[in-house]
Amino acid sequence: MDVGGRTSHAGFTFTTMHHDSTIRCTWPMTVGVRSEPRSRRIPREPLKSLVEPILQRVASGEAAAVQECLDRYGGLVWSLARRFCSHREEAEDAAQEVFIEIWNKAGRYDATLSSEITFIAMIARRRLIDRGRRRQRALQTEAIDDDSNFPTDDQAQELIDIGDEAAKAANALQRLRPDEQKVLKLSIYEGLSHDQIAKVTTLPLGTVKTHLRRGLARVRELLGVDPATIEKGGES
Amino acid sequence: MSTRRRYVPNSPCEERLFELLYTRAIQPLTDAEQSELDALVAESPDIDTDCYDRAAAAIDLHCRGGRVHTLPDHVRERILAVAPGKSSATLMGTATPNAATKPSDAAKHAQGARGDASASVTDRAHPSASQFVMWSGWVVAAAASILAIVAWFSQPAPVRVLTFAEQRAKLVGEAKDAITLPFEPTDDPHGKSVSGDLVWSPSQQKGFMRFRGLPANDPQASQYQLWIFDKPRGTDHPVDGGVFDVQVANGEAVVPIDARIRVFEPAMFAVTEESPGGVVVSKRKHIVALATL
Repeated sequence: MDVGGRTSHAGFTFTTMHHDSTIRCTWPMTVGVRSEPRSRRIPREPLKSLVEPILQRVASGEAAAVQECLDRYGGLVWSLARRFCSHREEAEDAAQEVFIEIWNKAGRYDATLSSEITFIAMIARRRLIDRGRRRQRALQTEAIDDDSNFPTDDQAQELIDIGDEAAKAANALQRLRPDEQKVLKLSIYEGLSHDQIAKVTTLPLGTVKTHLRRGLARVRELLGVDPATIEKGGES
Repeated sequence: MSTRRRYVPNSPCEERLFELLYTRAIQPLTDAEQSELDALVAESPDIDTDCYDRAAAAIDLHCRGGRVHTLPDHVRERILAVAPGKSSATLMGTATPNAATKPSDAAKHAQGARGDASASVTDRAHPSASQFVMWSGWVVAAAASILAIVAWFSQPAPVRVLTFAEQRAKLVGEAKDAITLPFEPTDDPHGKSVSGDLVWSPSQQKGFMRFRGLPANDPQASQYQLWIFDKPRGTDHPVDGGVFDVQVANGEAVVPIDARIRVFEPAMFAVTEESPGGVVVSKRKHIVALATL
């Protein structure tokens, strides 16, 4: 409880994943960008998913659903935990904490607002970011997705369906200026702080903050969650 | 489901709310900011508080491109072990004994070895070799039998995760420093009929609460939260002991204590009813159970 002081978010390097790892596809993969007609930005019906929804079953206390949920989203949560944590033990604690959160909040999932995987990623990110606050220190500043802190038997990868919102996010990002796209990716995916982004991009700190705020707001709108934007005709 | 659908600020307070929601989506809030956010969210219940988090999650997923690390088996089992109210037999699957190590199969193998050895005995042209083959056959058969028996008895029993009630009983039985305190009812409408107890082990930093009479909550409307008052921290900064739900109305519920940070010298345990997800600083409006040392 008694924690204080702003913790700066991460300082990750730009390591990307290029492993000679086992790749297996757990279910049909839809990776890529699809343009959505503007009239369909606000989902009126639950978003379609390639897999059967599971969170409702988890919320109702179905034991098998808990296991399926872990099978389906374990890789995503684990990958996020690895990115936010510098050591395996910490990542294991974090992954466990995230799943407890998911089970507790499964009943709040609303299929009209997002796909399940976006909901899972949202819960996981929030919990992982919040760990930084709770631990009274900055999130780890070691390499993002750098496997050096993880044993070699932990490098297997798989491909997952990343959901409709990811495609919409891609679409939204494409509409931003290259600088804005870069700043958003560095912040959200690479986990860099504002200062670090300013250094990397050589953009003024104020510009970084403006790009981030504007970019995230734009993606939020284009995910189809801003009725005001729709009324105005979309583009702002 | 969610009724929080408004995304446009209508006042300076709501602008500040969106500012905090945006910040939360990309970096940790300070405690003061988190408290401010909790208060602002309570004042604007129709705001979609997930909107920025959802956008950030979507960008994260897009950048990830669908490639994720496989969850290691031991982490998976560890997570399943804390799945609330789940049977380990269902969750973890049942271990199927390896057929090759069953005594019956080993005996068959041994029988086969004996058969081969017996056939070798008739080979008079090379008596010493035959004798060797015969004896080696029996030795192999005996060794196979012994190995099979050892393997059979040394097979790990199917793992069964203890229920919270069992874990509580284990803690009470094993932790020499475990303290047990009764829960007292409070004046709150939801706390009037509460009874039960709390067990806490300072050395293990682990404990369980057992309630009767605590009304079932709607997790979308409110959740129970435990606060541990730790003497060195003072009464203004109780330790967050975890958020939980009670699903069985007036039935007995056993809840693990999830202290976020180390508790040095607990003086009091208080359960409050809070907004979904819990709060960082409780207004202590709805105290539903108390246990005091």
